Formats: sequence, C-alpha cells, structure tokens
Amino acid sequence: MKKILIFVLIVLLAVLSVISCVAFAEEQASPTANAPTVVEENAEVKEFVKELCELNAQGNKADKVDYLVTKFREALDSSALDSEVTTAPFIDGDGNYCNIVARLKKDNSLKQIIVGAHYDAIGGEGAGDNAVGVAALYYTMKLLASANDIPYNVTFVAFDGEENGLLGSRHFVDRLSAEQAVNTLVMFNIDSIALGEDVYLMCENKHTRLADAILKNSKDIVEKPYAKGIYGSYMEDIYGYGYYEFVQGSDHTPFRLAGIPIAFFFSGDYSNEIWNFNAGNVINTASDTYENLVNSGVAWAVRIQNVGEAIANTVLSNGFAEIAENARSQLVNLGFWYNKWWASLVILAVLVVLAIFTWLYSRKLQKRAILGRAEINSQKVFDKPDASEIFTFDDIFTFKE
Amino acid sequence: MFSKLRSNFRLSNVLVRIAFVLAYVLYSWQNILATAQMVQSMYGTMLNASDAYVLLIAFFAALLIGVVLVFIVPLVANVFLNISRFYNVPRAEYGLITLMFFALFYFVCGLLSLVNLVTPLLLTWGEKMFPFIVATGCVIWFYAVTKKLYFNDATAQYYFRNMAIVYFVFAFVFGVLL
Repeated sequence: MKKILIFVLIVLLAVLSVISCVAFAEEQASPTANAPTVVEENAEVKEFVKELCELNAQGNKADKVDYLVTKFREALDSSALDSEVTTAPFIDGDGNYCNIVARLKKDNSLKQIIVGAHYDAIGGEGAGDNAVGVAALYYTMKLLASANDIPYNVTFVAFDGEENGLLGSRHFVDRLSAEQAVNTLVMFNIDSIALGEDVYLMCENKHTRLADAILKNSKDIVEKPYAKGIYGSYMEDIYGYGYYEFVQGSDHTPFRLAGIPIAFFFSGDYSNEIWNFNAGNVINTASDTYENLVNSGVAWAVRIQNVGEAIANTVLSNGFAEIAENARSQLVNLGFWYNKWWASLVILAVLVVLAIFTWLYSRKLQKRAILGRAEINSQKVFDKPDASEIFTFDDIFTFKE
Repeated sequence: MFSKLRSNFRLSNVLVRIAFVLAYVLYSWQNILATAQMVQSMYGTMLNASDAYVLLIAFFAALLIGVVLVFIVPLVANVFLNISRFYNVPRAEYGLITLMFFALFYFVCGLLSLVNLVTPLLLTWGEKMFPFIVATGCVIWFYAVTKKLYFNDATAQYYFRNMAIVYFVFAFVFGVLL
C-alpha cells in the first residue's frame, strides 16, 4: 500500500512539474503588456495635447470650447457621411458647464454608439487627466470619419464637469429619452490613459463578448483583472452601486447605471514610479502638466493611437453589430443582486422571525423563574482568577501532562 | 492544555487579548486598506507613500484599533453588567469571555471576507450578511455559555431580556439601517 502511495505521489509530482514548466514557457513566450511597441508617433495628437494643456493653463473655458469645436469640425469635415458638431451648455449649482457633442450619422435611426472623454481639468494643465483622453477621442473621430461606412450613428462627447462629480455625463444621460437610452448600444469612455503603468480596459467585472471584441482589435491594452478590486480601489460600497463602485469615478458610470453597456479605457494604477519626480500622485494636482507628461517616460502618444484604433477597429469590425446589439444581455444586474438594501431587507425579515422566537423563549424563562430553582449560581471558570499569580511565558511552552 | 489555561487566568487573559487583536486585523484589513487607499488617492502628494507603505500603514492602523478595542470591549461588558445590575457576576472573567467571543466573531468574519479576494460577487451581500449571521451565532453561543455559568432560573430571564435588547438594537442599526 505504501509503495502504491509513493508511486502515485511521484507521478503527481512529475505531472505537476511538467504542467508548471509548460505554463512557465508559455508565459515567457507570450508578449507582456509592457513590451515596447514600435509605432510611429502621431505628431498631430501630440500637438493637440500641447494646445489643450495651454488652454487649460489659461483657464478660459470659452476658448477651450471654441478650440475643441473647431478641431472636431475639422476631423469630421473630411467624412463622406453626414456630421454635425454642437455645444450643449448647462448650469449645475453655481457653475456653467458645456458638453461638446459631435455626431457622425449613418442614418436617421436612433441607434448610436457613444465615445466620450472629459475635457475639464482641475489643478495644473490637466495633461494626463484628461487632455490625453480628449486627444484619443479626437483621434478616434478622425479614424471613424475616414471610414466609408459605419455600422451605427456615432456620437462623440467631450464632457465638462467630470471633476465636479461627473456633471457633464450625468446631464447628458439625464437628457436621453427612454427610447434614446435603449438605442444607445455601447458607450466608450477614455480617461487618464497616460497616468499609470498600463492602459486597462474595463467592461463588466466578468468576461463579455464586447470586451473580447475590443481586446481582439487592440494592441497593448490589457483587460482589467477581474475581481481585483481590493487593492487600489474602494471596498466600501458607499454609493450603493454594488461592486460597480470600483469604477465609479469617471463619465461611463451614469451610462452604466442607466443600463447602457460601457467600455472604459484608463490607466488604473496611478503609481508613483511612473512620474519620476517628487510629486507622488499627480492626478488633479499642479504637477499634471504637459512638460511632466513629456518627461514621464510614458509613450502617451502611442497610447492615444492605441486607444483610438481599438475603438475604431472594434466599431468597424465584422460582427460588431451583433455583439453591440446583444451587449445588454451580458450586463450584470446591478439593480437587484448588487443592491445592498435587499440584504438589509433580508436581515430585517430574519430579525422579525428571531424576535418572535425571542419572545417565546422569554415566556419560557419567565415560567421557569416561577416554577424552577432559584439557587445562587455563580460559578467561576478559573480556579485562581486573582492578581497574585504571576504570568510567565513558561506557562505557555511547558506543559507537564 | 485547556485545564492549564483554566487554572491560569492571567495566561488566558494575555492569550485571548492577543487572539482578539489578530482576529480584528484579519477582519478589518480590507476596509482599512481601502480607506488608506482613498486617503492616498485624495492626498497623494501629502502622504507620498508607495503602495507597499500604504499596505503597511493599513496593517498598523488595524493593529492599533485592535489594541484600543481590546481595552474598550471589557469596559463595555462591565457597563452592561452594571446597567443590568448583575452584581454577582465575576467581572474580569465575564470581560474575558466577551473578548473571546468577539475574537471568534472577528476571526470567522475575517475568514469569510477573504472570499472578496476571489470574487466581488458577495461584496455587497456579504458585507451585510456575513457579520449578521456570525454575530447572531456568536451572541447565542455567548448567552448560552454565560447563562450556564453565572445565572440561575430566577435571574436568567432578566439576563436574556437585556441581552436580547442589546442584540436587536445593534443588529437593527448595523444590519438594517447602516
């Protein structure tokens, strides 16, 4: 029997060794997400980011809006398809905000894809957060405008007020009619893609066909690891969004909460090592400047192109229409399973049941108090619970049984 | 071993307190880490700490809170006995048993919260249900143990009533309202 066991153990060890060797070899062979990519950097997007940073530094919103409207019109004018660029100003509290909406029209149907990035910035020049994202939006616009045909109408939105609480995207979603919301098939959001060590894609916190399609049509973009929300994100569900709280901090959230499938491009971990100067986390600080972005060592212009191409290639790919039409069916039901108030209701129901048993048991104890014994019952667990006994570590380690 | 512990109150006291602090760290590290992360992301330039340091800070914060709680819990148990006017219960022992059951509660909840490392699916429900279920089990067990030790047929009904009030108030506030 022993021999058989030893033999089985040896075989198991051998199989495990082979499996681990194969896995290691595959890991070595597969290109890592951080592998350098040889892509010719697009000078135009670099110039775009630089100019937007300068406008952010000047702080005149009207100039920024004018600049973006002009650039968006330039990008769409070359298209054979109908297009329009409009501004959507709105007031929220004491602030004046303005979303910039550009549309590339396939037909008169309501079906649309939305691509968004916020252009507002607080502190510094907003280079990483989010001039780079707006540049990716602009680049995507150019790529789709140059296509002969698109599967659906595409709406590009440069959101305002993201830093003040997703005001622009909330306003945009609030103004969608029920019919428009249902016909919005996918929302792509681009935010802070230069500030971390990788560009991540986040769809649902599970595998979806939409995520697979985007990753298949992209390069150097990695899928956000599923279920890795503990380290580097908020554990507490303070807004009651279920685990979606993990990614609540950008403009896709209002869309997702309205039941619209989203794809979020971000650089996730804003690690200090990326920014090789003593500024810690640069997001929303005065250090988020164009100069620091250039000196950061991040291939941000390549990232802009990668994200733009990922979106454009996905939208133009064969089979995207079918995936987009069915993307809703793969959404996690945030409304029911991920709402913690249901758990509260369950607890309340259990408490009510427990209260009934408590009352019944209490009656039993009362009866026993009348009929039972009433002797003094004050036992002690410890033989010598007095202070005179001195504790030593010998007590722990030396037992003489 | 247990007979040895039963005969040595001070040794049991030290061991239970150590177990309590460790169980509390296991129970709370995720939330404290998330808080530390949030502070780091909001005031990154002030803290200027790397991820490893944030982890370390979170661990020591959990340890510190655990050490503070280890002194507060027996005091609260004492207050409960005073308000309930149970004067014949040995306070030190009762405080120690209370700590023991809290340690058990934190330990089991801590183990259950490790599920969040594997999947977020139980994050919202688990956050509410796990502590409630474990606390209910611990309270019932705690009541059974302490009743057998310190209360007779005449006094048990008052002890049960007061325990039930405390349990329902806490369960309602933390399980339903918050």
